[in-house]
Amino acid sequence: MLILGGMLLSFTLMVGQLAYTGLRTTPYEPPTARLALPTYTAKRADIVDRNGVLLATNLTTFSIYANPQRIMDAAQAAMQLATVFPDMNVDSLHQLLQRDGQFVWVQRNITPQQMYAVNRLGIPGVYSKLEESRVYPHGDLLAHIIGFTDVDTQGLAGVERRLNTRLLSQPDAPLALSIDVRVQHILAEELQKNIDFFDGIGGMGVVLDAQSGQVVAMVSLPSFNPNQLGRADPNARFNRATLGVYEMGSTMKIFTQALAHERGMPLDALLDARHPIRIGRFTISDFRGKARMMTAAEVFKYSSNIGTVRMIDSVGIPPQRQFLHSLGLLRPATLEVSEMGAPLLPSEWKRVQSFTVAFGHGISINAIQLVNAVAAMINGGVWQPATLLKERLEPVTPVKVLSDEVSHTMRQLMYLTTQEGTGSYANVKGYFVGGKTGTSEKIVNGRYQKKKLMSSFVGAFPMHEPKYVVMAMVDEPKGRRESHGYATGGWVAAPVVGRVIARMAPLVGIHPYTDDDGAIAASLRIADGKKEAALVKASR
Amino acid sequence: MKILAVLTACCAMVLCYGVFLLKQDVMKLERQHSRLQHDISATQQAIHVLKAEWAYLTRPEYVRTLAAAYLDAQPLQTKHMVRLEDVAPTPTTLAAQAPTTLAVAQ
Repeated sequence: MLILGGMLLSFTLMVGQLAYTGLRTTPYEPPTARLALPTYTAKRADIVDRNGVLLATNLTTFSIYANPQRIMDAAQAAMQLATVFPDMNVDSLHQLLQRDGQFVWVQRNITPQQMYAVNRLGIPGVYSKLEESRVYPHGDLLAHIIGFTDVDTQGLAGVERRLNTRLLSQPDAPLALSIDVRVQHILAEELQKNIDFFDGIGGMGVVLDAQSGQVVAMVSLPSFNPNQLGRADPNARFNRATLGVYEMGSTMKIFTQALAHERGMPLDALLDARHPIRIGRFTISDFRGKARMMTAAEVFKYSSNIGTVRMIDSVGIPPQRQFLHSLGLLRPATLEVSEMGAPLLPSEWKRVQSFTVAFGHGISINAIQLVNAVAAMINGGVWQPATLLKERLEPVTPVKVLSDEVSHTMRQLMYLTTQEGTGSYANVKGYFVGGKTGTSEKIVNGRYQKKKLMSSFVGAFPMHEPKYVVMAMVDEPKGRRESHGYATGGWVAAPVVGRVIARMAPLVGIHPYTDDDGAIAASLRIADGKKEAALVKASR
Repeated sequence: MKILAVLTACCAMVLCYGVFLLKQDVMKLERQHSRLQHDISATQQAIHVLKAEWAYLTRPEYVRTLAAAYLDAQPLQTKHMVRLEDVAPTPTTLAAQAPTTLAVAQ
């Protein structure tokens, strides 16, 4: 009985132990935790283009840090580490590993090979850490738009800086830009060709959706590679398209012309462009002027400064200011990059300033402001701020700034410029390109430099129902024999716009228009020929 | 009474063994789960890297270089584009061209 009791007791104990072992949850012996990696989560949202092409992303990289207190032989460790990182100096590494404190970065964002090498060295006190670094697969193509981040992936420029909070707060939702990488590439390539050909020091270009205000491409050259920021030339980091404000010259006449027509001036109104205008210490004259009476349409076609000044003189100063204000030209643009130049406005706006502003001098704006306002002139007269995002963060209310009729007139006038005027090199068969050239002298130390030009062209297509505004500008082009020594907008920038349109239109799905019955051309034509002939005859 | 005690003890042993097996299975599944989690995470990261590489290798500039070197292609120009209706007959144009039923009947 006693034996049986003993056996039962021992069995009960065994069963109890078995039950305990089986049921025990083990807080101190996790069988799986060592195997588990944290699931992949990005700290910063990707940036993609309007078609979902990846423009910026985070990649996991390794970084090496050390605890100097735990390093036994700093000199030897420094020599060993220097074999893995050839760009690091043994002495500086030695000093680094002897510092006070328990944490120093040795090297950040290293390659997997370097990581492997460091692990093989097995130096006590040297550790690795998984980190994220920002990568821009397209290199210098979008550097000025996207910008870059610091080593802790905090935005330092461009969209990365301006929308830093959005990119960090919604890391799993990629941010879609309105940019089309293909158009961006075309614009950059064509612009670079003409910068090289005319030996310019730089250039910029913008393609804007005329109806929605979305920026489809924005280029500033020279550019830089955001993946290798340390090697970037500070000059190249300057964004000419947003931060640079320039006297745009004759492209500003578009607005003066539109305002004059909006205030009732007919296209065949006669304006006196026979003599230069003297006002104060200024003399306003024409570049290769006709020196005769001109119709309002001719003033635009031949880009007459004198005629444009006559127009604004008939309109007056307050309407001019009000109109430019409504086009967003008197305040900084609100594009989603952190580099935004504020316009330089006349300190006082009297008659003489009103004259110079009318033909694009004495007022400096950036390219975004210009194309934004030009879009409003031709899209039926509706202005809305330009954006770099496929979907705006906040809805905007478009503002009607011009009547439908005057907007149509402006389309006709810009078409006339490429057909008979200064912008013929922007012409592309089948696309009804219209536009306006602009050439202005740069100001150095307060004086206009005759040899330092900013040559630009702002065009749009197709003019009967405008979809895109395309602008190109070359900084300090030099005249060539092929251009008969000229380095003006019509020679330098208009061909860029023409080639960009010819290449981008098929890509964005715009067919060349067949105009067999001539209906489109007729709707854009200004019946002006007879009047012009009469004026030419009268001037002789 | 004795039989009951023995039966209870046996029952308890069987149940304990069952629980032990169950526990082992669960541990095995947990290991499998964590391995799968690990694989998923690794694959996600690999996909992410591949996406970045894909974006890098399909840079317009690079594709253009390759196309120039290996393809006899040229940039699309407006003269290369034709509207579909100018090439293929549409049902409406076909219907217009087709002989009428009256003509067939005659």
